[in-house]
Amino acid sequence: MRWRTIFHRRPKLQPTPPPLATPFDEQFLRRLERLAMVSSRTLRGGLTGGHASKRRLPAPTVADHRPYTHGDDLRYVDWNVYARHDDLHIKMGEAEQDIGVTILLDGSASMDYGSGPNQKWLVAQQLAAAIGYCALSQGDRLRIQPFGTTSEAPFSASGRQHGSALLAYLAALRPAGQGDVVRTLLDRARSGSNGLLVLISDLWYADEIDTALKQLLPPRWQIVVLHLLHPHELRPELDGDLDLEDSETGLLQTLHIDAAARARYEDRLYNWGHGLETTCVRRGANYVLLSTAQPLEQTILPFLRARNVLR
Amino acid sequence: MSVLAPLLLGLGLLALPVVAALHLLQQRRRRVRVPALELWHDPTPTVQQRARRLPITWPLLLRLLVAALLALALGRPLLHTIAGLPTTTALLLDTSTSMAATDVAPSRLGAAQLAARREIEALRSGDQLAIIALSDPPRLVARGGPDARTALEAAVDHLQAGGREGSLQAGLDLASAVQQSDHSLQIVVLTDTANHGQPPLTAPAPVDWRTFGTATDNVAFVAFAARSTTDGLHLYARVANLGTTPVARTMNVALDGQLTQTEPIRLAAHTEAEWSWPLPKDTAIATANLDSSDAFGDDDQATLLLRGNATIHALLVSPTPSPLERALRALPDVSVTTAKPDSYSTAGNDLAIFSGYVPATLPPLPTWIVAPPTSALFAVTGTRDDLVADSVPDNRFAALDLHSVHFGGVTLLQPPPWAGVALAAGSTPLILTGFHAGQPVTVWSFDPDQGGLANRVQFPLLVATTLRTVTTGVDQSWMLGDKAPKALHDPAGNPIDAGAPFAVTGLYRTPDNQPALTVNVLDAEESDLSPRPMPVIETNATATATTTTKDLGRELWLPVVGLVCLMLLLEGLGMQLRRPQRSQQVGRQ
Repeated sequence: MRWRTIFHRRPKLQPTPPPLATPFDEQFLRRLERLAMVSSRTLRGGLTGGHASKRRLPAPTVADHRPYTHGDDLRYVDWNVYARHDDLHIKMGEAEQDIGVTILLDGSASMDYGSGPNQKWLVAQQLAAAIGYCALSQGDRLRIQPFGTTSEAPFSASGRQHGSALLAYLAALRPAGQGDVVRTLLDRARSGSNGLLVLISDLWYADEIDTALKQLLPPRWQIVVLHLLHPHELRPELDGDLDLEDSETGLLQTLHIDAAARARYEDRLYNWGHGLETTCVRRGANYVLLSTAQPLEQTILPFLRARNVLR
Repeated sequence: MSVLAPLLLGLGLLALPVVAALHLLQQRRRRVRVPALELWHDPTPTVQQRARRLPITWPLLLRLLVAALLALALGRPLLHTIAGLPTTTALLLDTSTSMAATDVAPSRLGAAQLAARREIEALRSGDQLAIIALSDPPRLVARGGPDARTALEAAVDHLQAGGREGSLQAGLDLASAVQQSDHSLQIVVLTDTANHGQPPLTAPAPVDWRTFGTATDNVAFVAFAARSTTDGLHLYARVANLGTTPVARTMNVALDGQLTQTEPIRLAAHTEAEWSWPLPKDTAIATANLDSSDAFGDDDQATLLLRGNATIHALLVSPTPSPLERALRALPDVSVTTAKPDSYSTAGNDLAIFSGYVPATLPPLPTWIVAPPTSALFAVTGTRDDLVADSVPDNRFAALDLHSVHFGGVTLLQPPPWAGVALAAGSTPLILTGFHAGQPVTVWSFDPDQGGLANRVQFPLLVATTLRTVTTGVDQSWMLGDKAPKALHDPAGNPIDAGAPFAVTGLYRTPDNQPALTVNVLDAEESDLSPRPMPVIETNATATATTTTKDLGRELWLPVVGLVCLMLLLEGLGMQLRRPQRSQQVGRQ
């Protein structure tokens, strides 16, 4: 008994707690209701969405007039003008459009890091849910394309009534394997669609992202890159002689980590993040580095509002 | 403190590397899963390339301490309660002439006496203290416990500086002899900085060496004598600068109280200078002094009692013609009369010389005995030939080079109590000097007619030296610490008894106010007050063990084990307090 006291073993690490039954609690769901999506006027789309378009089309809300031509819808003839001038004029107004919102959700094994409310995958799910729910609420076409997850089947829907299906879909996803950010972005570029594209990823092994962003240029695409990292990735607390295992590749690296090694890591992390931000800005994309420790409503959503992604 | 089971202690200490190894194993590499290794690729050496280092942590130090304490408990530590043991303290007090120096107040000897009194005051019940005067030879002055403090203090106060420093080894042996069997021994040596370098010594216990005095420059008379030459009698003086800086002094010489010479003296460091002046025939007393005194004033003056050119009447009593007669007749100022043993009279003579014969009773005048046969005075155990003198304890014979002289017909004598060895060949005395019935007596144990001594040039010199030695108080001086041969009055007029040591330098007179003898320092070694290296003293391990075997120690293993238990308890509490925090940290991971 005494020897156990003297030479006690280091207590084994507690097993990773099981994922939450649902990543979206009641408080989170209520917040979703307050969110609204606003899209850039530069986006093109149909006429059914709630977003103002730069295209002047016949509309009930008068902004201008043009002479009537054959085939114009008689419902938009301004009869008051006809009564005064005996000329038929069509009322021109702001066209309301819907946009396509695509969320690329990184579900690679590296996203399965951390525990509790700061777990990267949990925060990524919540981000995707918040943005996707807003899009559905605005009547936009929503497409969620996970990659690296156990199932890479996309989610496509339009209309608020699909909110529950969205949350169920996200809750069912599990991170696994290796995700290829660049390939996924290029796939979207080749799909021929357009609109708002939100990439939620930790961007590990995404060094060729510039190649993909070149194919997703404005005005056809509005790109938002949410670079999500755990606090321990931003400021590691590792120390001593360790065998580091890569969560995606499974490779092992034996290192002696001390304060100097940690400082070198943080320097490289800063340069890496700075390089990604420069690349995104050069390609017209919005980039933000997020820590999972930051509350969603206090840091991420204000950023999205500031960039007119959320209202 | 000691350990009763050193083997178990050693075995227990082997647990220390085991604890360290266990910690090293505990610190083995952990596997940690990270999202990506992309930014962890590091050009610095990896663990395999680095030497594994044992991290120094508080738990490690605590466990090493626990293991060390357990090993100590296995070794059964024993705390010696010396304070509870009776102790015999041997106080060896240097009484050599240099202890009279006053570079420390009141003098080196005074400071040593003060330290001795403190030791006496510190005596506890059951303790013993022995005061050993480190004279030549060392002697036990007093001994006693706390109830004899008064007598011990009186004995210390009675000590006077004088003579040469005694053999320290003899003093240490004496200290060993005074140790009581059930006492621990403590040896304290109180001496000055002028102790002579000695070969490695052995002591029965560790020696507490305390010195008194500083490195002090000193100018001194190292020789002051009368020499008879073909031009008559000359006064000879030699002054030495025993310091490290040059000095300028003035020497004043007075004959029979009248100042006759004033000599300026300039001496570089560690140099000597000599002077010689012709002496008038009727000079009785010559004195010399240096004008300014230093830390040692006794050697700044010298006094010489002269016979002038008065003839010494010597009676040579020998059954056969002796070569001694020829040498004596060659000496100036000596008148020799020969006689047979069966018909001689000492009346009218200043000196009696017995060669090959010893009377039943020595005559009441200075006596010189050569090659004594067995008699009431001397027990002869045999004879030896071809001996070479290798020891000159009496410095009055030190000026003679006798290394090449082979002594023959040496009678093996047991030195009588009243005589000391002046010249010896190994343990065989060749010349003895002393006082018998108040008269100076010198004994040659060898026969000058054998061994070829009579044909050597050293023979007349040896005869002249012996003649001066035996004619007590004439043309020779005594040293401080020497015992008075008879009742005398010191230079201040105070009476001293026969056998009492000379305490001051100067001219001593008989009770009827006649000049009797002079006392001077005239010893370069004692006048040199510069510090000498402390002798190397090795502690006799056997004696020390004997000293401590009766040590009543107290075993400490139980308190040590208690301390270990307390430390383990504290560590357990600390672990319990840290565990929730660790769990929280792990949970956050």
